[in-house]
Amino acid sequence: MAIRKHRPLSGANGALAWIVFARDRSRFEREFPNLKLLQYNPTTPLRYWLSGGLKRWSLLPESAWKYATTFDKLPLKVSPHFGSFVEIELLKSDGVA
Amino acid sequence: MAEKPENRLAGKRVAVTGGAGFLGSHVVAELQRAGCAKVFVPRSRDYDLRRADAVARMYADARPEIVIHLAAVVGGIGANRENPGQFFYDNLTMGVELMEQARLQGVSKFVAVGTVLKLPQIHSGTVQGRAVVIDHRGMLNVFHHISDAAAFLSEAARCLVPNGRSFIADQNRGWISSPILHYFHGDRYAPESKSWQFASTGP
Repeated sequence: MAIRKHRPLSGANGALAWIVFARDRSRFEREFPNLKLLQYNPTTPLRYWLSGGLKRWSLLPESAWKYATTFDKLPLKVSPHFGSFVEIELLKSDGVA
Repeated sequence: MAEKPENRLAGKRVAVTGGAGFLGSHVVAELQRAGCAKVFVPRSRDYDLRRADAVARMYADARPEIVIHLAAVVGGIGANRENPGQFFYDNLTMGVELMEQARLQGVSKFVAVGTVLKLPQIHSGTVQGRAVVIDHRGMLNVFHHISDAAAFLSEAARCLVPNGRSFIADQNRGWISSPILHYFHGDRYAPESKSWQFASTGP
């Protein structure tokens, strides 16, 4: 099957999660009072990038990966702004949607 | 005392999409061990699950009480990187058609499992009466492709059961990620945008 570009959902804004749940959090809380933001947890500062992401290469040798998880947590102890990814948890309240 | 899951599955008719795959073959084996009356595995050569008519035909053939949706259109790293929209569209369509036909045909339980980039996260949905409600939903590295975040959140608020949860793992605007996403990543990165919307670039 031929795969075509420019299909639905091909667009993006890589900052969307930060925009909606961090920068515009007051708007989110105002417009969606029945969705409670339980956590906005920045994580994984370096590991994904060092792995090469979706590319075939990796900047770290395989033997180093057992230390990578521990190493990756260190920048977050300094500041959550080091987090390259974020884990978000929303809770639907009991109210009517 | 709570009933064991195996007992709840005994005698049930279950359809497992993707049941011939790596995960699915293990799930099918467990279902058979649990005493399911019939475990139906639709194959792509027989049913194009992106099409509503094929999904309806599959349900008519299998008459499942439980549906476990594991099937996905997947590719290697390069294919995923070059065609995220195509893969995402196919997989979303398949899930939507399977859930909608399950609702129409009165399937009592629908479980969808999906992963993108990161393991493990679980989608779990339950079909109750005429409306699809979601207990827990996980979204992995796809939120930034949602072209209307407010519309998505409205739908999430509508579909989640009270006390249901939505888990989203996505890119963050961080000190390290910002320059990478801005200068080296293929997707658009616009933290300055005032809008929660963008063009989907699709037809």
